[in-house]
Amino acid sequence: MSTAKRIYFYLVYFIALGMFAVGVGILLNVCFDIITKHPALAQIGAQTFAREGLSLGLAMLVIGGVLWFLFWRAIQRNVSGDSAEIGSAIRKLFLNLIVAVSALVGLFAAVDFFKWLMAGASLNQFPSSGLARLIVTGVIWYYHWRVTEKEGQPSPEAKTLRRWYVYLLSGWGLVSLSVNLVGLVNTAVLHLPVWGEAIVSAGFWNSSVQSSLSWILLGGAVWAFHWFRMARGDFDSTLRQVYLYLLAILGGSIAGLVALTVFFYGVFIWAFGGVTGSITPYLQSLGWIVPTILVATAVWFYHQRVTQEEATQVRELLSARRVHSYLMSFLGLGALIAGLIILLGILLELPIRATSLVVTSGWWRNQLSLCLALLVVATPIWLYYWNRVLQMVATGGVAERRARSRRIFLYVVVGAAIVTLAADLINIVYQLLNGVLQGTFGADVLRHSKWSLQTLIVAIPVLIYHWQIMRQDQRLGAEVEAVRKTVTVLVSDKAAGLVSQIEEKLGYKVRTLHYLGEIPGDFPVPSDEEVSRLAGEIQATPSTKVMLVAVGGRIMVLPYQEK
Amino acid sequence: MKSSSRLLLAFGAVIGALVIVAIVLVLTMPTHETPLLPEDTPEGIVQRYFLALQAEDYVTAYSYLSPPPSEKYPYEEWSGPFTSPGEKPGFKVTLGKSAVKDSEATVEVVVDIFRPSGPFDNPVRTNYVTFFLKKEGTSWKITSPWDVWWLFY
Repeated sequence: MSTAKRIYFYLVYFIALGMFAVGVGILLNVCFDIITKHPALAQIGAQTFAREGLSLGLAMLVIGGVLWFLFWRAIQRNVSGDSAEIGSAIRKLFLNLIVAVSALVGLFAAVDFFKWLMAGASLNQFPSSGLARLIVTGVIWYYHWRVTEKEGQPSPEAKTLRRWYVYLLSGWGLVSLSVNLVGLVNTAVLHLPVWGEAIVSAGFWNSSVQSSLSWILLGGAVWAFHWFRMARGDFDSTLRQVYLYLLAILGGSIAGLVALTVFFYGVFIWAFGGVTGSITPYLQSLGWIVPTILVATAVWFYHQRVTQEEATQVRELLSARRVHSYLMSFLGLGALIAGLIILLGILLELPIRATSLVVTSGWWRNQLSLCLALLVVATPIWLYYWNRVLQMVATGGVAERRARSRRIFLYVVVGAAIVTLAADLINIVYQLLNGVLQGTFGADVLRHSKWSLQTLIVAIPVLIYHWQIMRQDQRLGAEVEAVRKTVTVLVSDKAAGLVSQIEEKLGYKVRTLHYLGEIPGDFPVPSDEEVSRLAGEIQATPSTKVMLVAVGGRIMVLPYQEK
Repeated sequence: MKSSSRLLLAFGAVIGALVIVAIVLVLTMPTHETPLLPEDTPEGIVQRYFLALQAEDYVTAYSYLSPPPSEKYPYEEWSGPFTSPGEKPGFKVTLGKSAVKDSEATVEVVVDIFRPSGPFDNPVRTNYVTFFLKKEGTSWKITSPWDVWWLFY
């Protein structure tokens, strides 16, 4: 099938399926409404409403259904047994889109239905429309999921599109589960009978709790199904690394760190005697702080363990792991700098306050508490991740120094430090000159330059340190663009790991061809030196096109030219 | 027969059954509406209010309202959204629980509005509304919600 024909078939199929599904949904809604509500309840306009629904539902079901059936049959006839057609990107895009949309719509409908059950299953609030949607999306999801699982993923595009679906739903389920666990514990804490009059008076079993419980059950089920069943064994996937490092580990870290910072802030405020009124609000805030820390730690710990276990099976140093390390370093450094700036602000405030006529007692409490909270949380984070970055650089060589995430990190830090320094210096010089010329040189100059001095003092060492690293990277060739050659690697499945090793050394992607012949014995895993030698050989060839043949235990570097 | 064909046949059979059940249920529905509830009860007033709206008797519907003076505006302004030209969606109202305390009452109402708007869109929009009423003399008056323009949009 041509691309245009495929788009035509799947687009019409998609629209026809939508009409058919809505038609079935309307009829189910009408049936549920009549069965559950009509005989028992006082209703106005029920019959007209049901007839309108029946008319539209029948029209959509019959027309949409016939169209859907004809197009689906035509598509399946074209597909039958043809692996190129089965693996086509357009077919997989539509199938995965249908599966993802029906799963998400069904999930929301299921949550509504669970909430209704938990709320006491009152007949006059029976979610006819929600249950109809749940049934229809459930059937659509199951049918298309079964089709995609049965026919498999015979092309790289098919695998990628399936992964988008699997990790999107895994992420959705994990976030729903985590957020609602925290919400549920927080609500439970707020309803403890220990807060006296300060707390909400409504009962615990309210719609918020019912909603949280529904999302925990269903979000958890969605996560468990997609993560443990559908994503099982999918180690060689960039999207998996994005899910692991950027969603689960980074997301868990950020949530946990924010909660920890707020916790320490409260502790320091209390320790410095800043709690003047009731302590109840601080204690109540533990209702979300503690579960957030616990849930975030569990998410972080579990996914960290998964990455460690998988690291033995995936040889390549995946870019998602690197991005995660630099992002965490950046977050840690940012929070550390913020803490130091606030600390310097307090120190500079002391001489300024000494000259003031009225000094408010305890003005420093909030600032010192925030600064200490930031320093306590950020320092170990920055040290841990920056140390990891240093280790990666020590083992990764120039390829690691050349990594885009490292270049962006260094340029952002150095650039921000330079701009901060320039702005600070302008303000300080302006305040000094203005003070001298106006004859008002004194505490006011310090007061107006205070913020600039705080940031200047912190920005200087940050700039010097990162500037030196950047210069060192440049000296070692991090900025020299590698000459990109068109490299094609012909490998058997046994030597699939070689591709990522070569890509890592070259610093760019290569094209992979799979050798389908039988090869006796295992392909020996090449050493790091051997891969470096191969990368050097590729770069040294006079041709811009190179074929790498890795079959039968040997690796040949063959420059070629197209004629 | 292939398992995928068997599955499609099963779907077809279920959908055929659904069509038959839906038609039978709708056609055998009693033609009469729920009998009128007593006029001196909050539910009776809310029921009459919606019946008047459905019959496009907006003057009668307006007479059941008694909002606070700060929120009240003239009949012409209140009925503007209802009397504007264009097809009005059908709606169904289910009266739920009611509670009376002294001269104040609440009535829970589920309003389903039917407005088809596309092949992927659910044409039924469900609103859960609580009506607040107060007793004026011997009859109940609706104090909130004052506006129900959303019924026709």
